[in-house]
Amino acid sequence: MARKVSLSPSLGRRRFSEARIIAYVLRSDPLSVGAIALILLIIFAGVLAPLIAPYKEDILGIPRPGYKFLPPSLDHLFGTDYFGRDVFSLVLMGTRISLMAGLVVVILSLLIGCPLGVIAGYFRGTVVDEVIMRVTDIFLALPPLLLAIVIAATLGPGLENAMIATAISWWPWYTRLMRAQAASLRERPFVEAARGLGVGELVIVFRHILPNAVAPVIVQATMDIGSAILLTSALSFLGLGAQPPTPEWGLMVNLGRPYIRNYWWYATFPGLAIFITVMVFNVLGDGLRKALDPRLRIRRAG
Amino acid sequence: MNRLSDLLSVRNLMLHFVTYYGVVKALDGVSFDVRREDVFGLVGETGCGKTVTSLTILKLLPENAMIVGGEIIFKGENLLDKSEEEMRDIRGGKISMIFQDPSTSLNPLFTVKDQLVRVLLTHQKINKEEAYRRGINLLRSVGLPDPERLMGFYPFELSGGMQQRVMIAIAISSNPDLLIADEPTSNLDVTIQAQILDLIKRCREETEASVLFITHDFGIVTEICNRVGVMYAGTMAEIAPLRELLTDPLHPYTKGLLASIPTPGKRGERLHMIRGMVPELIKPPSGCRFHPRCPSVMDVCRMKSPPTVKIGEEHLVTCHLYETGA
Amino acid sequence: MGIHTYVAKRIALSALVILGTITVTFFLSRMVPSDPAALWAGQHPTIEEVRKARVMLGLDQPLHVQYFSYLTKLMQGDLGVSIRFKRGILGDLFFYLPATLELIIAGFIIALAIGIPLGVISAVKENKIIDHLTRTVAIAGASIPVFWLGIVFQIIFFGMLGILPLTGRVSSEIVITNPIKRITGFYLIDSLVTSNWPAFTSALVHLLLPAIVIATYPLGLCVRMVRASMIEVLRENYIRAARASGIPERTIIFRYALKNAIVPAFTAIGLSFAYSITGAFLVEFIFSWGGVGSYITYAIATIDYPVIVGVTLFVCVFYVAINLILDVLQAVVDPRVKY
Repeated sequence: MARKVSLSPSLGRRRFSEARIIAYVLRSDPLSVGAIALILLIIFAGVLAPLIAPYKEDILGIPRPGYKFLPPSLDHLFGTDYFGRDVFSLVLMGTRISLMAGLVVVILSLLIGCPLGVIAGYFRGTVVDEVIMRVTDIFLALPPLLLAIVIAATLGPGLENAMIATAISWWPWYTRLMRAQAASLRERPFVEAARGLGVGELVIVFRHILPNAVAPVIVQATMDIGSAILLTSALSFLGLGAQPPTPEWGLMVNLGRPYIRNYWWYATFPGLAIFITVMVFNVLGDGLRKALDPRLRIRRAG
Repeated sequence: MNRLSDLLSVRNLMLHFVTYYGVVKALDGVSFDVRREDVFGLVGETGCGKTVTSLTILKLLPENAMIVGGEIIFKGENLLDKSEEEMRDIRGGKISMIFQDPSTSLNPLFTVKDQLVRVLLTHQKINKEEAYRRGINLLRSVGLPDPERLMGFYPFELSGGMQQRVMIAIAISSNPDLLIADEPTSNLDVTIQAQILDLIKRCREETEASVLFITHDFGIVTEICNRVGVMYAGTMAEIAPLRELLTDPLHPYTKGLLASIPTPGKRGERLHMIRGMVPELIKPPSGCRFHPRCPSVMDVCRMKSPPTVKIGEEHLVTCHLYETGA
Repeated sequence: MGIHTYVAKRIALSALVILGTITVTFFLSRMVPSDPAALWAGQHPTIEEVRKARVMLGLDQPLHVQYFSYLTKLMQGDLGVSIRFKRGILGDLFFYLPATLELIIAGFIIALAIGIPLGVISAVKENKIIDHLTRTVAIAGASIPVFWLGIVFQIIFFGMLGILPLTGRVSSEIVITNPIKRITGFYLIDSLVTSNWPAFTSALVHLLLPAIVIATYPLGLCVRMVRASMIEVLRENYIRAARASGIPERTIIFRYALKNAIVPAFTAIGLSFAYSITGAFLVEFIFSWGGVGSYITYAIATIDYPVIVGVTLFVCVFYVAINLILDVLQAVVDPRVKY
């Protein structure tokens, strides 16, 4: 099972075989397999929501008076809400929103955080590094939700603003990660070689170091999609994110709150959706982390 | 042969490790005796199974280890039959072990006093003050100056040599019958090495314990051992008294080992090498495990495991070359 | 450097970070689209009233002047005034603080009391059934939306089973019959000290659900960190050497290994305590707890921006202080850390 390690400037080949080992280990872990299956199911449900939702017009918020607050039944799997809308359809349509929110937040954070991190790591020890790290520290000095609340309150309510707010509180983590990666990659021979050939510093940073440093960050980002969904739905719950009649899960939990005594389903099922989605991403992340742990791949007895 | 003077008899020990890549046949019928007042040297290259053997004696193996055959007779009883409770009494009590790297074998967050006193309290029915007193004496007896002050130190505040002395103090605290020393000097400076070896010799003389000394360094073997067992790839190649082994090595592997030791007399000559590499033990070589590298290999070596033959009073060799009737 | 220099250096760095946060929030607050002066002036203000409000709030000054006056006020502990309540924010904060502290401390104690043993057991029985179960529970703890769990608990324990109260820190009867004298603001302590047993029981019962909900995140984290740490420690040479000395396994696990395992997990676990304050906000909202969380969520609903910023700064200082304490504690506990 010997792996060929190439010394060429692009570590792409090595990454590929490493990816295969990861896939192999993941396949043998039942929890991870289950998680991947569920994630695919959720994505599937989200993409196909308009087609499979039995009452898809409900997201428009048009009330259906006769159907107010029906308990869960075969007709309405999750019951109906204050307006008589089918909660199951709402939750399904909300899948797209939440998945998109998670993805957008993570991508935005990566876009902000990675370049900053790579630059800081490459110019480690210099003023540039110090400045970037201090700024990062400032943003890390607050718990993510709180910062997101402040920014969302500044920008005003709305899902887009909530996503931006979350991204702004999230990027420092990636900067830290990238910085550590870049700092260690900086010492590699291929970087010295490039420098010796007269390649410009910024080109080195972005063409050579960034692509090779990005792999563990991508792993972390995948896991973070779950946390991003958690944060954005929390913001919506507080009224700072999505606004009615958007079928966002966190918002629906908030709307259902006054009725929990008698009509518990309205608040319960959207929240359950959040829980399952986030959990599934976290399980996958856990599995990925185990797969990447070099020590767990037992070396041959020598 | 089970003589009254045998303290420890390892008979045909077979041990497997279950790993991700397959079953590692780590020990394949290892046999040797350690007698009273022996310093038995267990020699071999890295990975030949000498450490594993010592861990098996104390049953300190990881979860994926399986003892598939053999016995370990200590003072008349088979250790492999004993329960975990009984083994705990024996460990540190009747059989003690000191390890290769003293800096990682002592808990960094606890003082010398903490660790030493605890072992004393485990095996002896005394109270804390008495244990402390005995601890001080032990530290003094292993040559550590100012034991009272030392008790309050953390391991990282001690030098490598001092750490090893503390380990030895812990090991001899309950007057064990057998001391297993697994490469105790490999991580130390050469000058400290000599001191530690002296210390071990002295302890042995004072307590009349036997020592099972594991090493890959023949130089150390000649310093301290009176009998030697040469291991290769999980098998015992040859056992003999030290003198006999040096003057009349029988197994081709032993010969190769001895020849590759650089000595001043051989200056100017090429270093002798045993060609080939140590085999991996998931699919060990057929027949004799040494046959791919043996300069005297015969056809039968590839097919059958070699028998153990007794040459002279004390000399045992496991090789087809000496097979009676061959 | 000695411990004093180390602490001083850390404090200086923390101060810098706080200053940075203050600056960021200040500039954010000046970006608010809605006009704070108009909000201050109340419903249907006249132009004159708005103008007066603007002068009073100092909003007619140039930006850098505003910044410096903001800073000076902060130095004096003046966090500003709430638009809605027209009261000093800092005073209100200190009033509401004990409720929140009582909540997160209770939650944290639950998290540790369950999390550490669970982590240890999980590590010792690695890869057995109980380990898989525990790990799943731990991941669940990190994934559950805290606001949802609180509601579900309310549905089950109040709505369906009727055994636990819905909201509040004490039942409304107690407020009338056995009101708790406010000494520290911690209902449990105050009622205990004044031997007010009915109030104590009521406060305890009311604390139960919210504390458990808050505990879920730190619990999950604690289990995972302790487990990972223990597994590593149990592989170490000194554990093997301790076994070779015949020390009983229980002593090895709970006295030796645990101490070695806690130290690296320490910081992460401590940080989860600081992190649980945001969980507290959501939980307080749901359980009408009357702490800082209720204060800020009300401010969000009424767009009382000064309160939001004020609480944020306060929490920031809190967070930074906890980080600082953790760093110093780590240096003290671990004899190997050189300072």
